Amino acid sequence: MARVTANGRGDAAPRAAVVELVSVYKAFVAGGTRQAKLALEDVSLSVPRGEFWSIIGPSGCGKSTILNLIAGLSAPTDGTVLYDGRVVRGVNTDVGYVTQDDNLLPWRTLQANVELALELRGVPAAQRAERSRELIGRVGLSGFERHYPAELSGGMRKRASIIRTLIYETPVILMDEPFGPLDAQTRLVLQDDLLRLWERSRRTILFVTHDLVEAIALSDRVVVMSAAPGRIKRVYDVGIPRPRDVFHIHGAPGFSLVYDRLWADISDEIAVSRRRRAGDAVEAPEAVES
Amino acid sequence: MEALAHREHVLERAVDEHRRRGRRDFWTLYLSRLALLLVFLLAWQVLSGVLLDPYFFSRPSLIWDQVVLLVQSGRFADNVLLTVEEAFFGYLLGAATATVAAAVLGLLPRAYAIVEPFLLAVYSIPSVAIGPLLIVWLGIGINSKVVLAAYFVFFVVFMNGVSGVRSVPRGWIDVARVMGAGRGQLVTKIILRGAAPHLMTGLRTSVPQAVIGAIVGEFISSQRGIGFLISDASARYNTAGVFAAISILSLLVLVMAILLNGLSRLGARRTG
Ligand SMILES: Nc1ncnc2c1ncn2[C@@H]1O[C@H](COP(=O)(O)OP(=O)(O)O)[C@@H](O)[C@H]1O
Ligand SMILES: [Mg+2]
Repeated sequence: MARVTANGRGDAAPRAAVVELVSVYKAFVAGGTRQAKLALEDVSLSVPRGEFWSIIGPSGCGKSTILNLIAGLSAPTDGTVLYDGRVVRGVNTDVGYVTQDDNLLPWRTLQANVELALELRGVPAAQRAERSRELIGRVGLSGFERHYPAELSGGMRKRASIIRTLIYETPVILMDEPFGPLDAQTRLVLQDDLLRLWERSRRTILFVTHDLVEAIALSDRVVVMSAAPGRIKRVYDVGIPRPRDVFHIHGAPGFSLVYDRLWADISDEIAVSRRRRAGDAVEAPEAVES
Repeated sequence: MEALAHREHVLERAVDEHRRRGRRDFWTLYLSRLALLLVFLLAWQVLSGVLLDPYFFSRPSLIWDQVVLLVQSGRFADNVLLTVEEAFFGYLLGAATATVAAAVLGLLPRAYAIVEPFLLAVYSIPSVAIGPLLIVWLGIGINSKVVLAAYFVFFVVFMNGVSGVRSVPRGWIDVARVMGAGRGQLVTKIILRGAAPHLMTGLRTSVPQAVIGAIVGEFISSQRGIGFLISDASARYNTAGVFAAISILSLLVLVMAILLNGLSRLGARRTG
C-alpha cells in the first residue's frame, strides 16, 4: 500500500506539478557569527495540483524555510522554485499562507482580520461580511466577530488565521503547523474541518506538522525531512482511501503500515539529531585541546 | 427560569461593581492630587518668611495677587493667547512634518542611514543657539516662535515615529504582501497603523515641547507672551511676577494635556 519513492517527483506522477522545487539550497548567515549555515540542501519536490501534502521533520530542519520560498518571501541560494511552471520571483500572491505565528493584526477585530484579503482587493463591505460570517460560523467563532485578537484564546486565533487565508480562494494553500499549540480535541475537530473544506474544493495544500498521525490522517503524501541541513529523506504515498474519518484514523485500512514505516524513518532522524547534540557537547572541549 | 434570573443578577452585579470601582478610583486620584497641591502651597506660604527669604522665593498669596493683577489689567488674555497660538501652530507644523518624515525614512532604511548623523547633528544644536538665528531669519514676530516650537516638537514625534515603523513585525507585512497588498496599502493599512501606538506617544509627549519652544523664543526676544512676562518680571527682580507667569504656564500645559488625553481617547474609541 505505502509506495515509497526516492524523491518527490513520484513514480510516474500523471498530473502536472503546481509547485516544484529543483535542487534547492538555502544558506543563512547568522547575524552574530558571519558564518553561512545550510538550512536546505538539494531539496527537490514536485507537488501535483489538487493534492494534500504534509512535510514532517525535526524542528529546525527547514520546513518553514521551504514554505517561505514557495510564497516568494525569500529566494533560494541555489536551485529553482517553480510555481505553475514559472520561476517564482518576488512575492507569490497565488498562494495563501497560514504562517507559523498567527500574525493577526491587533487593532482589527476578528471579522476585520478575516476580511483583510478581500478588503485589499476592494470587495464591497456587504459582500465581505457575508463571506466572513459564513467562515467564522463554520469554525465555531460566531459571536466573537467584534473581539480583538488579544481577547481570543490561542486556539481561536489559530482558527481565525486559517479562515482569513481560506476566504480568498487561492489555488494553493501553505499551512505551517497550523494546529501546533492546540489541545488534542480541538486539533481533531479542526483536522476534520480542514479535510471537509479541502474535499469540497480540492485545492493544493502543503501542510507542515510534526505530528505523525496528523500527517497521515490528512495527506495524500508525506514528505519526511532529515535533521539540519534539511534534506528530503523520503516521500510516502499514504494511500488510505477517502473520505477519511480523522477521529478513527487508527483503524483505517493501511494506517499501521504507513505509520510503522514513517516512524522508523523519523526515529532514525531523532536519534541522529540527539547523537549530534550529545556529540557536540563531548567534542567541543577535545577540539580546543588538539 | 430561576437559574436564568440568577445569572442575570450576577452579571448585573459585576457591571455595577466595575462601574463603582471606576468612579471611586477617579475621585481618589483627583482628590489626592488636589491634596498634594494644597500641602505644597501651604508649606510654601508658612515657610516663606521663616525658612525662605520671601524676596527670593516669594509666597503663594503674593503670586496670586500678581495673577489677579495680570487678569484685571487685561494683559493675561493677551499674552496667554499669543503663546497658545505660537505653540499650536508650531505643534501642527512640527508634528505633520515629523510624521511624514518618519513614514518615509522608516520605510527606507538606507536613506535613513544616510541622513541619520545629520539629523542627530541638527538635534544636538542647543535651542539657545538656534533661537537667535531663527529670529534673525524670520523676525521678532510670531513666525520665529512657531518654527522654534516646531523644532522642539519635530524630533520627539520623528524619533517615536521611526521606532514605531521599525517595530511593526515582519510577519504582518509579509502576510499582507502574500495577500496581494500594494505598496500604498502596505503603508497605510499595516505599517502606519502598526506604528500608531508609538506615533501617538510622540504626539502626546511633544505637546509640552511646543509650549517650551514658544516660551524659549519669546524669552530670547519678544514684546508679548508668557515667556515675555517671565523675562520682564525677572529683569525687574519681581519674583512673584516670575512665579505667577510660571504658574500660568503650568496650568496651560495641564489644560492641553487633559484636552489631548480626551481627544486621543475619543480617537481610540473610533478606530479601536
Ligand atoms: N531569517 C533567518 N536567518 C538566519 N537563519 C535562519 C533564518 N530563517 C531560518 N533560519 C535557520 O534555518 C534553519 C531552518 O529553519 P526553519 O525553516 O524555521 O525550521 P523549521 O520550520 O523546520 O523548524 C534553522 O537552523 C534556522 O535557524
Ligand atoms: Mg517552522
